[in-house]
Amino acid sequence: MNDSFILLPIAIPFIAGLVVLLISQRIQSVKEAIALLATAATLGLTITLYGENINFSIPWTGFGIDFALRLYHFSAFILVAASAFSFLFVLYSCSFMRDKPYLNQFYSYLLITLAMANGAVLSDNLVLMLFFWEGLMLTMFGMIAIGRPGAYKTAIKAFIIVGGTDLCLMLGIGIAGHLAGTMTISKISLPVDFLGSLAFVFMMIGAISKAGSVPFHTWIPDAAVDAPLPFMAFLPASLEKLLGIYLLARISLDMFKLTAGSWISILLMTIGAITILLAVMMALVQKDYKRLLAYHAISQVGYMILGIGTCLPIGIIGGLFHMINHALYKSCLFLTGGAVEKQTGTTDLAKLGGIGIKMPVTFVCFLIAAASISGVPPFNGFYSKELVYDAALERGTIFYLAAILGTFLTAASFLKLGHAAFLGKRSEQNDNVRETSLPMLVPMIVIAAVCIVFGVWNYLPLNDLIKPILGEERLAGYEFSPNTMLITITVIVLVGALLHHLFAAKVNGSGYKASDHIRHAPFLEVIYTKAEKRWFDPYDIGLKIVQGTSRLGWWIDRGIDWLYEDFAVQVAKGLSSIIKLAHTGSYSMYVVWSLIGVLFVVIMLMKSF
Amino acid sequence: MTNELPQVFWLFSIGAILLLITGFYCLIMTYNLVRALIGLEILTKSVTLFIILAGYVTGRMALAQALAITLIIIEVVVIAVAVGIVLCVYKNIKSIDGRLLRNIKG
Amino acid sequence: MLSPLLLLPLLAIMILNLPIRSLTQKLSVWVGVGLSLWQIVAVILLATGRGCTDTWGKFFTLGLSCDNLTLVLLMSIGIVTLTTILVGWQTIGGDKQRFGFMNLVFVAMIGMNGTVMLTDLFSLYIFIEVTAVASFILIAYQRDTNALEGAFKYIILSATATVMMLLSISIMLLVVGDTSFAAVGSAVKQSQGNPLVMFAVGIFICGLLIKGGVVPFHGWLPAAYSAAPAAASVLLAGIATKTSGIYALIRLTTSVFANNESVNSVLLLAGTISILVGAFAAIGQSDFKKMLAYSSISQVGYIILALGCGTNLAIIGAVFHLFNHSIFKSLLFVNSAAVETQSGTTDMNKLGGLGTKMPVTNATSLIAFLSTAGVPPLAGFWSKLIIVIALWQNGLHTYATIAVLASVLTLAYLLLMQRRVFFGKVADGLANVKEAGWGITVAASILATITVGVGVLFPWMFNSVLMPISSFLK
Repeated sequence: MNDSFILLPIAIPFIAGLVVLLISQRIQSVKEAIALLATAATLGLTITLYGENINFSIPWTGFGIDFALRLYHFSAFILVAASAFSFLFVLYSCSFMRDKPYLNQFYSYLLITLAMANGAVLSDNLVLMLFFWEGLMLTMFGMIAIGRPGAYKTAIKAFIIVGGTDLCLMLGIGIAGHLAGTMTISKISLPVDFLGSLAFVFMMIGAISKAGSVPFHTWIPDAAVDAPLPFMAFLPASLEKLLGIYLLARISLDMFKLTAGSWISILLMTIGAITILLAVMMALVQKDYKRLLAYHAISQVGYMILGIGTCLPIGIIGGLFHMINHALYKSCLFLTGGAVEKQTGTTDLAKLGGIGIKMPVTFVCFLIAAASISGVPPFNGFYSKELVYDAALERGTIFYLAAILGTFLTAASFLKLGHAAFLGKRSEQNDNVRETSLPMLVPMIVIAAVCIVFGVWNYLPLNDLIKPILGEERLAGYEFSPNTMLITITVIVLVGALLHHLFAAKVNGSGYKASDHIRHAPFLEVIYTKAEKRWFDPYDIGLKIVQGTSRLGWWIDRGIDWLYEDFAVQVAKGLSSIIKLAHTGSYSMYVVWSLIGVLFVVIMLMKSF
Repeated sequence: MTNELPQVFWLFSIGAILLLITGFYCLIMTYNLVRALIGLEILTKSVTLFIILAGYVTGRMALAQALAITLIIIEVVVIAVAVGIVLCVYKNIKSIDGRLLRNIKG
Repeated sequence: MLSPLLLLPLLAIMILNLPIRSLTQKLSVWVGVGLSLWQIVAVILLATGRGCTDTWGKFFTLGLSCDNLTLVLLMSIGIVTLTTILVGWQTIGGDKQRFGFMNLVFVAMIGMNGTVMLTDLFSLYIFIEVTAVASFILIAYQRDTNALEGAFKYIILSATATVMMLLSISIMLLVVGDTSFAAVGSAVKQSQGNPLVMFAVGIFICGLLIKGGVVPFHGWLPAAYSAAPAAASVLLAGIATKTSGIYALIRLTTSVFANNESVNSVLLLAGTISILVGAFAAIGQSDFKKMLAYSSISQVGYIILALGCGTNLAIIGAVFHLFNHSIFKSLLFVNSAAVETQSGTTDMNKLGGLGTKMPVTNATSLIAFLSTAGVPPLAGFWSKLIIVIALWQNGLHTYATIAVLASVLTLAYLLLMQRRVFFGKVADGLANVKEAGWGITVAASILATITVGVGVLFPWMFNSVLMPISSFLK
């Protein structure tokens, strides 16, 4: 296999994306066919390339910025995952996105996003990775903006938040490259001294914001409502987690020598814990299917960051396993949400209810995925969460408590979601709901099946995919025996959540109102109300501050404006008219000019004599 | 190349220099297009004289003659084109006053 | 491989003018397209190592030679001639008219190819004149008064340039006894400090500056460029001025008059003044083509500025900017041809909102003006960057700053042009404007692709294509 095959996972989706863009809107099936073919080809290619170690580098621009790609087990793993997800989502979108506007842009953005993501994962040079990372930002903007009229506001918000953190990433890359003297990722290994930790923090900000952690998360719930649903399944649920946690893992494991006990580790764990709790509290009280799922996506990232932040092998493995598990079950959840939306026309929980019987396959997939996310054995979420609990407990009880509380609330909110959407009384307008079409069912079933496989036979992914990432030295001497005490606590917590839900549903009247008592609890009510008015959204706060200072700067601006716009323009216009007057149009004048010019030249040349 | 050559050259070329000055004066000062062309001709002839002079003074008459003949041919072509343009101008505006040809100003 | 570049157009003229006029009139455009395409191919073949030798030189002792600078110019000549022919095909009606046009283009090709390939001062002069004569007739082709005015001004100033060049040649003959580049070069180097030689050098350079359109020798340029018919403007602005004036200047200041300090300071000054005068004059124009003419003056100023700097990098920047300028200026003029033929006017006060009606012209015009202003990642940005870096590295900080600031001016007036002509509301009377014919749009697309391609591929091209250009600077 030629080394330059490594370029194909980037090139094929990119070219396919451009081709789709050029084909007219009307020939829908051709676009779908091209998208399917391209993603299938990429999937086949990445599976074939899996297990090889390829390094590919051509000089690009100077100064150590090479077009360097590296395929090893970690990047191959992410590559296969990304391609598999895109194939499934394209299949799903064939049915879901039919008759929606801007179709050719949607498919082309999807394909180009896949190309950029592959490039970012494969790249071995920091600047090249940044290049692909930024490309992702652009396609993300495009994909959100084509969702609904008015979606561009959310797209702008996403762009600003991600763009701002990208700047931090750029800064971090700059410092890291400067410290290490090279931009090639596989060669960088820096100690965490003052500058090193600064670089780490900046790059970490870029990585976790891509993954969607607090406080860079506020665009995700808005996008859940505004953007087309396959986008939500594709980017925030799976691809961004894969990329963000991939980068976080690279910088924690390979680029910087992080040790357990350092302040960075505590920082990461704190961010993780806060993310878990904050997001799940918000998720609990949501009344819209998609927003609820979006908040959960944010919350689960907290587990991954917590896991990697512990800097213990068990925690890192847990975090990485959780990354792939989350991609699986969260995208399955979003896909079920899309199925519900397509069949009933709404995602408002107040209007849904009792469609579980009408849409049995969707319901079963939802159950599997919801059980996975809540951490019910024997599904995959349970195992990855156990690993994270184990590591968190070793590092500090408070982190463990935060994680377990998160599990409780997660389970509660999914019980509420399942009850409100699929069980309970069915309203009239949902009487004619049928099961959704096959292209939408197949991805859900496939992913749900993988959830089960990764759960029951969990040593398969752990041994083949995740453990090689850490390498032999770090794993030496660690045992992964299940800690029975932890498992017991988990089971108790889950049962408790179930009981709480049944009790609350009874008290409040319906499954959909099951979390109302939390919503209206004395202290929390105030916070929830303010959160709903977006008081806590850092983006909105930032906007208000910006508006305030711009008022102030406006007056200063006036003065500078005069200088640049009026004064300079007058000067330019004056000079221009002088020159125009000088050109009289008479050829003899021009000859005279030339002769005067000759005189000057001769004088200048003969000056030295 | 001895140092006397240039001095001899400049002595002989006083006539040519006078022609040069006359040519420029004619070209610049007249309004009549045909007279401007005459001025152009005078300039060309003066430069031809310079070349011949250079050849004479350095003894390379053959090269100078070749250059002079080529020069004359080229200038004939240029003048022919110029006269053609003047004719077209006359056809268009019925006059050969150069002051009327100042429309493209600024 | 070299003499055919000169001889094939000659052959074409001879054959096409045989008594079978009716047949050849129809063929002439195809022959023209074929010849210019062949020129491009020949340059590529030459560049990839078929050697710059003159295989036909055994039969015709023409004394041709080529090095990397010549190759760059030959490529530009090929591309711009192809463009001119395409535009002329579209805009000039009538078989007889087109036939005459093609003949003139062939003559111009002979002239330009000869200028860049010969190594003798007098031959340089001869071929410059050949190009000039072809240009005179091309400008006056449609015989309207403005065009005749432009042509006449060009003739007068070209004659002045002739006088200066010949005066210089006669002095060279006096001092050196020969007019070939090698002989003159060595003599200038030896007689470093001889006032007569410096006088001759200065006069020759002035002649070339007149031909190239550098302030204050530029008087003919706005009139000639703006009054010429569409296809002639493309040829003139794109390549004729560049070859006769600028190429000759580059060749002479680098090899023959070799890096003389006073010559360099003259060039620096002339270049800066050109940039500024051209930019300021362009801002106040209301005629589309005259604005482009002043923009030409400004861009040529950049090239002269880089020449005045004199280091390897600067010369590379100058040559690259020459190539880019011929491409994007031709593109701008092709678009002006499109606008002129479709809307009938070049007055920007009367134009407006053509962007929606002429999408291809709009897009290519956008690319062209972004490249002229020096916006990354288009080609113009890279060449300007190289020039500014070379200036800065040489310690000429003020000149570098002026160059950068003038880019802002360039952007300003070009943006104004784009806005007034293409964006905004559709002006009165222009409601029926359609896209220009296929000849113009194809030519515009080719040029735009080259600009974008060179710009995007620049990082890879830098070491492989650009640095070797300086190999001619031995």
